[in-house]
Amino acid sequence: MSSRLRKTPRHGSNEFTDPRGISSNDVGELYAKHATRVQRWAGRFFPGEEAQEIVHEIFVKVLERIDGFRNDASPTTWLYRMTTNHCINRLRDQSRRAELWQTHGSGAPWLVPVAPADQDTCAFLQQFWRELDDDVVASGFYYFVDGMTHSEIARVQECSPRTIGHRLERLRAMAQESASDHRRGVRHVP
Amino acid sequence: MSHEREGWSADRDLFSRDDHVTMLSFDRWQAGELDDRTSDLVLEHVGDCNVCSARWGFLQQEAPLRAAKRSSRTRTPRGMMWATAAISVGLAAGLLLVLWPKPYALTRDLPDEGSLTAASYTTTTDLDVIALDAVPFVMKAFAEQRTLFDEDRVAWDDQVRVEVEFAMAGFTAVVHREPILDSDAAEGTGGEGPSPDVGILRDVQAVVGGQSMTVVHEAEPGRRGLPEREQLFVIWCRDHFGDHLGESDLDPDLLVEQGGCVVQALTLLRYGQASDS
Repeated sequence: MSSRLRKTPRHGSNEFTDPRGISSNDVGELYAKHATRVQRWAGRFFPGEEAQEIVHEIFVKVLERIDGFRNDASPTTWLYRMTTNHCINRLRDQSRRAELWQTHGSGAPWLVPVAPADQDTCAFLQQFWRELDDDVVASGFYYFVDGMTHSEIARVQECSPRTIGHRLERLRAMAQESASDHRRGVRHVP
Repeated sequence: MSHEREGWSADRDLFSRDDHVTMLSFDRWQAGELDDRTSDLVLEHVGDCNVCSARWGFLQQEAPLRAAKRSSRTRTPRGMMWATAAISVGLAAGLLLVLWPKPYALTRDLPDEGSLTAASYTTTTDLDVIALDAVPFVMKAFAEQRTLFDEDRVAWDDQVRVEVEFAMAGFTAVVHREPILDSDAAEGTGGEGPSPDVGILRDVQAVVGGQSMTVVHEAEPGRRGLPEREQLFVIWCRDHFGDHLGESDLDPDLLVEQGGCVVQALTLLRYGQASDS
């Protein structure tokens, strides 16, 4: 496998190949190449050993979903999206507090908003993410924490830049509303 | 036109909104998923940007100099080529340091109680523990096609070429120093002679692991005089070191003392026509 997944079956080896032509070696190679960075990505949501556990969960999903992977796509981007979504779901499923996002401390380079102007929205996202759709949370994470452009997020999430723009505008509007509510003494009940 | 626009868009998407390489771009670069031109863009930016250089350094600590193979390409971008070779470079560096005659200095200034407790990008302190845990560069020098070793004789007429291959991100400079002759020192007043001059061959710049650098020390044709020793230094520091020392005062001795730096030196016996005849 080079930089793309190979789905053509190979002969003369001990590898398992399913009827779709997906080789067990493909996933094995993906794991060997990407497990470290998947753990780093997961570590931004879950510190310590839990991130290692998530790596295994992610690659179980890879086994399940590899037939949906487009050969012309980037395996790294595909895994990054899958990891982000998985971590958000796991947070939600376990009723984790959003503060886990900041467990590593504010000094971590990519755990803080890339632009000071985004502080409020990022804080809102971290506080109220459970009330938002997963796609919106992920878009906000990519934009406010990773600093990605609309088009890059669109590529990762496989939707249009316009959709990303709408999601981010919605987040900003909610953040502003939340801030004004806060000033008026209105409390949000998560 | 549309291709240009698409190309520009793709290039722009490599970078975050604060103009640094995004983590995803770094990961795709490291995984060998970027094309040649885009890889070169990243490499060029990392070479110029301290923030991205440091981030890339952290990533390399996490997955030390992992190779990226793109077998279908006809040309391997320089950065990824070196990344592919870097693990070999690291091993070769250790061997070279053993074999290299009379290295000037190799220092490791590690905190006594430092610890690395988290993965890259999530660690806020003590990254320097791992920053000097491996040899950060390999230095070689050549005159014509001849590989130079310590105390080799090299005419002033000959150009000397210094090649450095970096295995770790940091900051580097290449300087030379001509120790004064005993006879010169004797002419001075008092017990101490003037300090040897340090000349800059390559000013301080950021480097990334896998990067190579060639510095040419130009020939000085017609230079006469007694044979004298000239030292060439490659300096690598984890942190930027030009500001507090001054651009014209990159004294290797000072840098070795301050810690966090590795210096390799090569001493050459330089001679001119008059002394050689």
